[in-house]
Amino acid sequence: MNEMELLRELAQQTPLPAPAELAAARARLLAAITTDPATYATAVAQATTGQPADPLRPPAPAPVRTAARFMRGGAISSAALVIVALPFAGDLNGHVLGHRMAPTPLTITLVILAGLALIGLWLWMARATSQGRGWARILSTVLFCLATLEFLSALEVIGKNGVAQAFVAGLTWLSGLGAVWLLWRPASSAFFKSAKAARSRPPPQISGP
Amino acid sequence: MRQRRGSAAADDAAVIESSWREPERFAVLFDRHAPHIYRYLARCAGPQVADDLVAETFLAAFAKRDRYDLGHADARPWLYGIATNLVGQHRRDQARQYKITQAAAAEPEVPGHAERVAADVTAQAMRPLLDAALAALPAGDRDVLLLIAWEQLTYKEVSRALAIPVGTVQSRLHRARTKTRQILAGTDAGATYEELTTNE
Repeated sequence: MNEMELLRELAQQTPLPAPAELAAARARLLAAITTDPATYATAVAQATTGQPADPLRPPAPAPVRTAARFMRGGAISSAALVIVALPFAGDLNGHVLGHRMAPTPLTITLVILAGLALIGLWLWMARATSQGRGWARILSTVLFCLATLEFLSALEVIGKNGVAQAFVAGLTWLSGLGAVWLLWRPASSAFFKSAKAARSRPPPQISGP
Repeated sequence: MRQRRGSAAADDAAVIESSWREPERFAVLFDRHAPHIYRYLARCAGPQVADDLVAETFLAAFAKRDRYDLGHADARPWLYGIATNLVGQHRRDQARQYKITQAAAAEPEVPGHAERVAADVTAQAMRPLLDAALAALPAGDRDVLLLIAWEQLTYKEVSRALAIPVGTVQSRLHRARTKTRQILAGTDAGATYEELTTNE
């Protein structure tokens, strides 16, 4: 008899607990289940529609929820970036003509439209990643890489345009970095995998009356 | 026995997935695995605290069920991993408490758990002998040894439970077995062990 067999032999002498011995632990778990938000959501959905709430989508884990918050933060700082960049909207012409000009209504409109598109992109990515869309995670990463290249190439210009613009641009980039980092955490990967598996299953059959 | 448990656990992933929208389904997982997790905890930390630790294990599992990888049908390694972490935390708390108590009593030398257990070995019973040997092992090595010897998890399952590579599981097991053999052979009660190992 070696040490492994000895351990196994001695382990066999410990009996499994009777159900009564686990009653207190089970009661604690049931109490936690009762207070879980998903229980409440299911109960409300069943009471109002007769069907379970959002039956196919698993809840997003903390890293994905935080990544979505970062993205919403990115949308806000993008809005701030548009505001601080407006006085320099004439630079659009400057790029073409080779010298700085006063902003015109056209360049202001272009900057605002670009800003709105950027904000929309942030919010769209936040929503799609929260829903466990794998493509959104990849697209977010690609967009972040492109934004990084753009940020690096525009560093000189941003620096000339004042501290406020440099600060807000840096903050926006950091929001993207935080979001992308969180989206590739193991817990996030498990969530995207689970969400994909859940979507690929057929919807539950609803029995007729 | 192991196969029966394995097949019963085959749809753990389905139970966990359904618990995302129907949390009360998680109780199925408790009914299925709590007795074995309890027994493991009772052996590791004693029956007095096993009650509390088994509840903590399932509460922690319930709280992070949304992070469970549905690619793993059997949830036992996941649960054993949580239980092992809690036992480690419990041991650290105990050691800290012990040190505080000893410091208050102004004891100059604080013997560790291993020494205290080893001092109790009287060469009479195998259980205290093994307890001493296990207590002397590094925590990581002991966890691997116990999950394999007691709970009969495979290398891969232990790797998943403790979040370490399979190679590390193998090297830890080898180290733990070697050290256990050495300790058992080297104690005053070693004769009992020698007797056992030669009477195969």
